[in-house]
Amino acid sequence: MSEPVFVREPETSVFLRELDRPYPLIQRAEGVWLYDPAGNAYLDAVGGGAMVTSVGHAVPELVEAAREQAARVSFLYNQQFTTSPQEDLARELLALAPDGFTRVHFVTGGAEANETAVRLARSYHVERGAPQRWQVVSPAQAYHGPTVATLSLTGRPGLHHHYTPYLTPHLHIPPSTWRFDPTGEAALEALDRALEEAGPGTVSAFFCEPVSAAALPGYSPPERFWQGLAERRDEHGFLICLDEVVTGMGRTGTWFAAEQLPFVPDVITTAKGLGAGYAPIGAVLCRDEVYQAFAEGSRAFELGHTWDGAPLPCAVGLAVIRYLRDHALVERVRDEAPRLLASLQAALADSELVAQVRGRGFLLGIDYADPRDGRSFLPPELGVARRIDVEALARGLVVYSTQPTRDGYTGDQTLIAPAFTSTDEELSLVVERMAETVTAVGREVLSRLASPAATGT
Amino acid sequence: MTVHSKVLAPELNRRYPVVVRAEGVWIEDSAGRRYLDAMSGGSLAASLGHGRRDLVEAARRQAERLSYVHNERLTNPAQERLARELVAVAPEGFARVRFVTGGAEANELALRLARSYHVERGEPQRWQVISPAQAYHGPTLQTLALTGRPGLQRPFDPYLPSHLHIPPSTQRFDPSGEAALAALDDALAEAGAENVAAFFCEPVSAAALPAYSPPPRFWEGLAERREEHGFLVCFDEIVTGMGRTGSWFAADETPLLPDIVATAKGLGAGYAAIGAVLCRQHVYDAVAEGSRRLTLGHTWDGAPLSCAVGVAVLDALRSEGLVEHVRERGARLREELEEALAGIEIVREVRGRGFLLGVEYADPRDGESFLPPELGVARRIDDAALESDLVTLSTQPTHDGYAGDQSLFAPPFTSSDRELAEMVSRFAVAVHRVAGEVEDELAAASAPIEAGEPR
Repeated sequence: MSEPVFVREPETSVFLRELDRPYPLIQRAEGVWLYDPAGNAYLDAVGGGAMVTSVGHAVPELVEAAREQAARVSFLYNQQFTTSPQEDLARELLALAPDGFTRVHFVTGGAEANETAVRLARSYHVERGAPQRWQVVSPAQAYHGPTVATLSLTGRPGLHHHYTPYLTPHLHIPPSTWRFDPTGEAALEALDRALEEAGPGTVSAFFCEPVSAAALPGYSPPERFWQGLAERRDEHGFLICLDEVVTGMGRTGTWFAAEQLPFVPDVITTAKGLGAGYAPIGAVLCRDEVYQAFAEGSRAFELGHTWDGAPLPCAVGLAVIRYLRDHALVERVRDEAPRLLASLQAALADSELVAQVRGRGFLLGIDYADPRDGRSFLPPELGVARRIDVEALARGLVVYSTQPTRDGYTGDQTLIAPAFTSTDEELSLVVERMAETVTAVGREVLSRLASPAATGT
Repeated sequence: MTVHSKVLAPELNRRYPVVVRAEGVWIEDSAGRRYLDAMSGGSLAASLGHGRRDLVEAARRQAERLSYVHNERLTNPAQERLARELVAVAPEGFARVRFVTGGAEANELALRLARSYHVERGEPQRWQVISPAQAYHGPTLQTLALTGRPGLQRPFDPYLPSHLHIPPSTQRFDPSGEAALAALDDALAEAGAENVAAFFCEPVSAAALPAYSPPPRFWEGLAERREEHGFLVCFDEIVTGMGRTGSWFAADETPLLPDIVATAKGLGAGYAAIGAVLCRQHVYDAVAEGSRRLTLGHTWDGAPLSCAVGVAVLDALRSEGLVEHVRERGARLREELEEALAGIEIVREVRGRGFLLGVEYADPRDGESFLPPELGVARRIDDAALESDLVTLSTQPTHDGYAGDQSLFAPPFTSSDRELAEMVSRFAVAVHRVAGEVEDELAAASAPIEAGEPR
């Protein structure tokens, strides 16, 4: 590699998220490869950095679909007009959604989709004459977006930090990870306590990711939890909203991850893979029972955003679905995933740093632990997540690691979410480079831990 | 909505024309009907008109090269360039830009930035926001909380933090702005001035109070209070940014320089969903000299595709002199609109600047009270306009207590003189027709309802 090209704080007009982080300057991309101006090639194992480009970069069919629609009609406000891309995409999405889903409301992205889902669930109950239902219960260790309302859907002090005065006091339950609650029973008990604390008939919705992404990479609650959740929905009458912002559109080997769960949710949100990096678009899908509350009630669900259902993003959504179908990519994810997971597990088997490699489809997670007991969170001051990403980048690999340790539910982790179009060779290269990265960081960590002064523990 | 639509539409009883193409200020539906777009795409985004080959081409070129990377950990030349160019057209002293995908996101970020500014400077007790009640800042729960409109907030009140609001200084209630300043003082006292993070407002309103802007005395008084109490002033320029009012930002024409500006619609001009938050150096310094972090963002923040479109939009605005054009032509457009609506009894006021004009209606029996909401005047104006193949956007926030029926009139900057004349004349025909019907209906009705508190 040549010297990588970074943009640093003094030389940009962008208000960077982290002022001390050097940002690799990406100039061009093709397939799963990102190129900087010096010609360095990075293997993109996390969909453009955020699990978005699920069919790779610079796909001519998608660029052309966007151009063609934009030339015809790019933007119109869907409070006044509709277009065939919006209508067609709604129909296509419903055809792919679980049975019983009958209506779609388009938005611009994941946070907006989740905000809309909260409003939709609340409005559903109000329409049905249960205005006391407003509260949401959700797993604490999750991510649903950076708006205040979506931050309120998590229970993470590290994420909330000083925005606490704005947050809605929703109720949260701990995750059922291997560390704390492998059976899911503890989470169900916590759910029962939350329902009781909220008070009878006051809960509007349970909100969760079927498979987590950034918050708990590749984690999914155990089967027993899902069954118990469905039982409680029947008993208490709240809705279940699934945040499929990441998992929708094939990421876990089915069109929606909901298909793999032992119950049907009431509301599904999706976003990233729907535009696949060629247009910002999200969608909220609901079951007919939810829709009927409006159809038989006020017949209005007003409030929307400027770009909701605009023809350009909807045409891109249609082209993405067509591309996924034409290339049988959801099937490819389903068929290829077990081998990918197994090869990542095998490659990391000897690393003392790795406690678990998990995931579904092309949404994989690595959970690290303190090698001294194979269980505790790594000391956060070691900055393992950060080091993994830096080491990976030095090896020409882009992954996404996080360290939500101070939230108390999990430690350092890495998310890997390759494009569905990655070739076998490219997938092997992801695994190989990741294994080298973890080995290098593992070595460093072991030596730091051997000299206790370095960690302060 | 078409019969078999699967879209969860905003209004289930409304018929939505199916649009098949659009060019310039013309929108064509599947039946071959052509509408004149006096609303820039319906929601003020398409400020450069439809079907612009240069913008479509800019998007294509960028998408072929690099459509998407996430700016949380990667950057791209288009983001870097648009940030530089936006800072260059922003009011003096603005130093940094953070991109988002739209207006609501921009306002949410502006609020988080204002809050962070105070926390970074060691004033963690500052969180409260004061804002005009009759406003619109977006449909997310936090942005709904920035307004004081029960009609908009219901039934989501349980989710909303309790911010404080002041009434608008409209002609009806407070033409001097003194009442709003008194209300601001009350709000500061109620919150405790040391707990206030920001004053949040639109410099010129759009949907909530079409083209209304507070009087100069209000701005001066606001600046004095900022000086005294140390809160920030955030401008929501989602609509007004990028030339809409005849200057790059409406802040250029306001007698106070805000600390933070949020903008969106005109930046992508209907060719990309993009918004931005800009801040002055001292706001940035609080973070730069503090934690050096302002994390949390959305998937599409600063994506190369959206930013490249933003760059092309700025190019078009500059090379075609459109901001200057809007300024000059806007003054005449307002006169033409006033003239065309003169003598219509339900028309109380035509206001606005640049290509952001508003028409306010009143009960013709006293020329002052709100029209009875059950007459549905706003809806009827839009329906009548649409029958004349004209797209307008009217609102009826009467239940909020601060304004009655109103229309927005906001054509694309690229509209020709002939097209503008045609828009004005079709609009006048629509208002005339509805006014005639309404006067007949009112002749048989009871006394006018007085403007007042929310109900």
